[in-house]
Amino acid sequence: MTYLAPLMLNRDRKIRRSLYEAMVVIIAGCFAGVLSNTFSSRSIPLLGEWNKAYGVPSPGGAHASTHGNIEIHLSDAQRLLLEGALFVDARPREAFLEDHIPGARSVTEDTLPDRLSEISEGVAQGKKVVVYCQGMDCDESHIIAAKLREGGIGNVCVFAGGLGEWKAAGSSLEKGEEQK
Amino acid sequence: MRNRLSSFFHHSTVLVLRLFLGGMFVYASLHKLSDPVAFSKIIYGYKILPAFTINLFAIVLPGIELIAGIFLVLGFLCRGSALVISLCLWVFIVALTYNLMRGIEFDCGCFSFAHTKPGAAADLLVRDLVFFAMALRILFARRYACSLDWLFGLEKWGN
Repeated sequence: MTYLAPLMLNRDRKIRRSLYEAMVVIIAGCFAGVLSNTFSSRSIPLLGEWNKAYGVPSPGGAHASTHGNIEIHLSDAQRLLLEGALFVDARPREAFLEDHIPGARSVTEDTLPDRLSEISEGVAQGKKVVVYCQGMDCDESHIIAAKLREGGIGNVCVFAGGLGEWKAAGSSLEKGEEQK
Repeated sequence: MRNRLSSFFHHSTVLVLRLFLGGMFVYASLHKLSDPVAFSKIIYGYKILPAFTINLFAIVLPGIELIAGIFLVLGFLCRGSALVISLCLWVFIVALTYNLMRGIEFDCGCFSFAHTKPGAAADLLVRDLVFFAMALRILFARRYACSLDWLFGLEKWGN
């Protein structure tokens, strides 16, 4: 077997060399990734906010979908519905037609500019705006809430549990088109 | 003559695979680098990594894909780049298989952030297995023709 020794030595060297090279590639890649993230307009921090116990999961940072402490819980949402708050369903139109929170308005990113005046009227009457989507894993509600705030509507909150939590609690639902 | 033809075919195959796989990795990394927010959400959707590693992964993985792809195209540190790309593909294969077995619907995020069609995960798995075979072919090649490694004599290092 001694005649195989040089071959084995050569193989070991090749493996070691490949590992060294891979290490260089990975270090250079990490550097490139960090550099690109630093100068990106959509940069994220090293640590995100992915724990559902603290709200809708997001990568955090300035461009994350969740901003400020505007999330409310199921009990708050149920109370606000009784108080006549304006509920905004941020899910796609098809999902809204299947079922939604009673009295909710279907508003997506595309339809928001057309519905802004209607929502403003509701706010002018002293109503609070509650935006929701399917649950903790969606961020449409936060996106709509942020745009409403940009549009000058400050009295906005997000029901983070969304329709999923609403349904699980056995709360009442409505189907089909919006009620006028 | 026969040996020359065989050698030419071997070198050409590896060169084509290098250019294809390297170019593809560069292309796949660009949209991830341009939008780390969207890519971190895609990684979260896989529901595999612990929460504290998601952002880190979203930041460094596209960078590694980019550098490994560029190096493979240029033929610089070829074997190491092929090893890194093989490892990446292996990780993708394991992640796809794991989620297919759990029946979780997720967006691939491979070449764009558009929603993956239902049932597309199996196709993605087959595609990644083909790419993985290509990466192994490059990794275990004897020589890399038309490469910076060959030009600067780096191939001899370690031999």
